[in-house]
Amino acid sequence: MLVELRGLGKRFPVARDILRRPTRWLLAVDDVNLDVHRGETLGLIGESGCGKSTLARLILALVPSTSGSAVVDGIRFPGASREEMRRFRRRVQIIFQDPFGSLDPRMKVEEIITEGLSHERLRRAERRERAKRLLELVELPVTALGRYPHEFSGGQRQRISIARALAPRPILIVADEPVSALDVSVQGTILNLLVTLQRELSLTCIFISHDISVVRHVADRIAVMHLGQIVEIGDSAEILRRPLHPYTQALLSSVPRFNYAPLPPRGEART
Amino acid sequence: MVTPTTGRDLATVGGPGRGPLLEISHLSVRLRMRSGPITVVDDVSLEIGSGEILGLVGESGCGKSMTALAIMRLLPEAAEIAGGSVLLDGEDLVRTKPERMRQIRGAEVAMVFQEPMTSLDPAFTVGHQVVEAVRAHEKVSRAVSLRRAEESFERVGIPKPRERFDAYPHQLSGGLCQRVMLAMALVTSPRLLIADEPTTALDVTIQAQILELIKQLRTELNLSVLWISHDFGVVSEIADRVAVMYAGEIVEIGETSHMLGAPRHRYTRALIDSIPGRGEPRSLLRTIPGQVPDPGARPAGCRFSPRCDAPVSECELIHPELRAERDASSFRCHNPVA
Amino acid sequence: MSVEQVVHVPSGHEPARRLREALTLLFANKLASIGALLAAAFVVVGVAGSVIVLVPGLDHLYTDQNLRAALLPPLAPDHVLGTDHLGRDLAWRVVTGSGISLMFGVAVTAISMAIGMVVGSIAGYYGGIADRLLSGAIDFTWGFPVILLAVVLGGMLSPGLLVVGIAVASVTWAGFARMIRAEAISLHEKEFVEAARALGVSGPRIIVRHLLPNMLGSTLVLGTYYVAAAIIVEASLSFIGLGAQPPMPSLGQLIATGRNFLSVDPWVAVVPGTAMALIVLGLNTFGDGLRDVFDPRLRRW
Repeated sequence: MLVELRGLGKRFPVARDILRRPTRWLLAVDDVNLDVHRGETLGLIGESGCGKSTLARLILALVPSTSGSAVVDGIRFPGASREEMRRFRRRVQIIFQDPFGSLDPRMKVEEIITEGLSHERLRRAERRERAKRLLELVELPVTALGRYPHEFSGGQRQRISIARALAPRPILIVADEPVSALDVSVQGTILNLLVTLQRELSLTCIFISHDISVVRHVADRIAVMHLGQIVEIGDSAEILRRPLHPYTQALLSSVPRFNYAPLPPRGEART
Repeated sequence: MVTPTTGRDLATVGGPGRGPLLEISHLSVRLRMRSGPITVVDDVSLEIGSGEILGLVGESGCGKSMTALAIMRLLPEAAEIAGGSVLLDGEDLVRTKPERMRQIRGAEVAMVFQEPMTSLDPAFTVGHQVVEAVRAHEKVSRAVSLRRAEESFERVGIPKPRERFDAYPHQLSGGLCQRVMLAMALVTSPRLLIADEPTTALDVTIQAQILELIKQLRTELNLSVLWISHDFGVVSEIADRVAVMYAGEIVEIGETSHMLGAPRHRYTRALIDSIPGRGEPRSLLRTIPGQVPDPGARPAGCRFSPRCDAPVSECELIHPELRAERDASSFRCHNPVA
Repeated sequence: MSVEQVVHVPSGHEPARRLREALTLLFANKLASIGALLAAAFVVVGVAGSVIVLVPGLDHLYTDQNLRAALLPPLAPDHVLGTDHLGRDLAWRVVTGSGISLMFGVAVTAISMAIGMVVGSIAGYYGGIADRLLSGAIDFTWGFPVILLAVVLGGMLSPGLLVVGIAVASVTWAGFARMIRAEAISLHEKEFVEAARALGVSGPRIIVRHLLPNMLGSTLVLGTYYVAAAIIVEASLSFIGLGAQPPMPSLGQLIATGRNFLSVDPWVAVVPGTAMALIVLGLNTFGDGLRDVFDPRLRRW
C-alpha cells in the first residue's frame, strides 16, 4: 500500500471570537479512510468545495491535518522527521490545474524544471543534461530550456509542469485537475502523455477531476467525494455502471451525455 | 436527450411572413494590433430562428466570443466590425445608432457570461441590480419593477426570491449567481439570449439544472438562444443546431443530431474523436496534431489543412467554400468524411 | 502522439526584450513620459549636486558670497537663476539642494525598502504567530507621525539630515512592509509557490527566488512615491530648521530663507519652490506610468 489514510481530517476556522479563538469551523476533509495501491491510478471526483483539493494537499503534506493520520510511502504524518520529510518531498509530486499560475513567470524553463534537484548538488552541465532529458520525456524541444513560461501555450505549459514534477523521480503523482483548463484537442495530448508516462515510469497516480469522462479514461478505481467525505469508492467501470450512493447517482446523471457512438477507426478510402 | 427539435420549423413557420429572428451575414471582425490588423471573425454567416437554440462550438481563440460581442456591439476597443450585417428582425445592428443599440441591449438581446460572480456588481444587492435592469429600459414605477424582478427570480427557479433579493453576490453560490444573471437578462423579456460559456464555471449538477431551465424558458417564452461552448456534451444536450468555428470562420453547421452523429468536416470529427471517456480506458486518445494557426499566419488554403488527417491536393491551395447539403447542413471541406 | 510546436516568438534576449516593451509602454503614455523626463532631469541635476556636496573643494560654488550682487533676479549676468540675500548663486544652490534631496530620498527609501521587504515577506509568507507579531509592529509604526518623531529626535540628538533620515526611515519601512506582506500573502496562494514547496524548496529560498522577484515591480513603483514623500518631509523639516544645517543648502531650507524676502524679491523662494514642485510632480507621474507598465489592469488605451 503506498498511501493509507486513516480518519484523516482537516478543519479551518471560519469565525473567531475577540481573543482570536475559533468559534466556527469548516470541515473541509472529514474522517477520510483511503488506500492507494502501488502502481494504480485512483480517480477522485467531486464538485467544487467537496474537499478534493484539500485532500490532495493533505496527502502532499502541504497543509497539516487536524485529525487522523496518513502513511505515505512508509512515512507517517503527523510526526515525520526532517530526514523523512526530505525523502518524502522527492517521492511525492503534484501537477496543478492552472497552466498559467503554476509556473513562476520570472523563471526560465530550465530553472523551473530543475528546481527540485538542488539537493543533488549537480554541476551545471549535469543539470542541463537532466533538464534536456526531462523535456524529451514530456515531448518538448530542448530549445524550450532558455525560454519563459509566457512564451508557451497552455498545453505546453502543462508539459513543463509535468517535467518539473518528474524531475526528482517521484513514485506518487497527485494531479489536481491537470487538463480542466485546456481545450478538448489539447486535453487529449496531455492525457495521452500522462497515461504513457505512468506506464513507463510505473508511477502511482491520484487523479483529481470534476470531469467524469476524463476520470473514466485514466482511473483504475474511483473515489467519490461529497461534503468532505468519501461517499463511494470502487472499481472505475463498476461505479460508473452501477453507482450505489445517491450522491454518485445524482452526479452521474447530471453529466451531459454525449450519446454519439465513437467513430470507426480512421484511414478509410480517400475520395 | 433533446429530441432534434422544432426550432427550425418555428423559424420558418413562426413569424408572420418573416425570416429568422437573427440573421448574421458575412460578419467580419478585425483586431487592431501593433503589428497590423488581424481578422478574428471572418465572413461568418448564421441564422437563429425564434425559439431556436443554436450551439456555437470551438476551441479558445476560434472567434466564438468575438462573434457574440460583435452582435451586441460590445467589442473591446481594439476590435472593430470590418464588414457584414447582423439583422435582428430585419434591423441591422451593425449600422444602427449607438442610442438605439443601447435600447436593444438588454431589452431585445441579453447576454450572460461565464463568470457569474464577476458579472455582478459586488457593491449592490442582487435584487437592486435586477430592478435597475428593468428601469434601465422601461419607465415603470418602483413597485412595478420590483414585481417584475421578483417574477423573473421565480421564473429562473431561485428559491425564496424575496429573501434572496437583499443578498449580495458574494453571499450566493455560483449556481445561484448564474440564475440571478439569467433573471436579470430575462427580466425585460428579450427575444434573443446570448450565453457565452454560462455553465463552464459551474458544477455538473448545477449545470444540469441550468440546461434544463434554458430548455424550459425556450418553450415557455419562445426564447431564441445563441449558446457558446467548447463542450460538445453540453451542446448535444441543449442545441437544436450546432455551428463549429475554427480559426475565425464557421467550418460546419447543421442539425445537432446529424452533425454530431455524422460530422462531415474533418475538424469537427477530430474534435469529437478527442473527447475522452468513450473508448477503452487508458487507450491512446485521438488528438489533433499541431495547433490553431495564429490569426496573422493562417494557411492560404483550408485553414485546418496542416493538421488534417486526410488532406487532398487542393486543400493547401484553395480555400474551401461553405458547401450546402440537402439536409440544411453545410461544411467547408474539400475531402469530407463520407 | 504529436508534439506541439513551440510558439513562435520574436527572437532576442528575453530581459532586454521585456525592457524594450516596458519602455515602449511607458512612453506611449504622454503624462508618464513627461514624468520620466522630469525624473531623469532630477537625477542628472541631483547627481551633479551630490558631486558638489561630496567632493571637497567644490563648496565654493554655493557658498561664495558677493553682497554687491545680492538679490539679483533670474537671467542676471553670471547668475542664470539670480542670487540670494548674500549674493550666492541660486542656480548652484538649487543644484546642490537637489543633490541633497536625491541622496536623502534614495538612501532613506532604499533603507526602508530593505527593512520592509524582510519584515513584509516573512510576515506574509510564514503567517501565523510571526505574522501577528510583525503585523502588530507594522500597524504601530505606520500610525506614527513622522514630523513629530523627527522633532523629538532632533531635540534629543542634534538636528541634521541624519536624524531626519532615521526618523523618516523608521516610519516608512512599515509602508513597504504592509504592501509587501499583502503581495506575499497572495503569492503564497499561487500554485507555483505550492509546487516549490512540494519540491522541498526551503522557505527563505522561496522568498528569495519566487516572492521577491515577483513583487519587484510594485515595490519599485511604491519606491518612486516614497522618494518623493521623503523629499517633502526633509524639505518640511529643513524649513523649520531641523534638517540640513547651513551652509548646506537643502531645498526646504532655501525656501525658508526665501520666505524672508518674499515682498522684496520673491525669486529667492520661487526658484527652489518650483524645483521642488517639479521634482515631486515628476516622480509621482513617473511612478504612475511605471505602475501602469507593471500592472496592465490599470492601463488605459
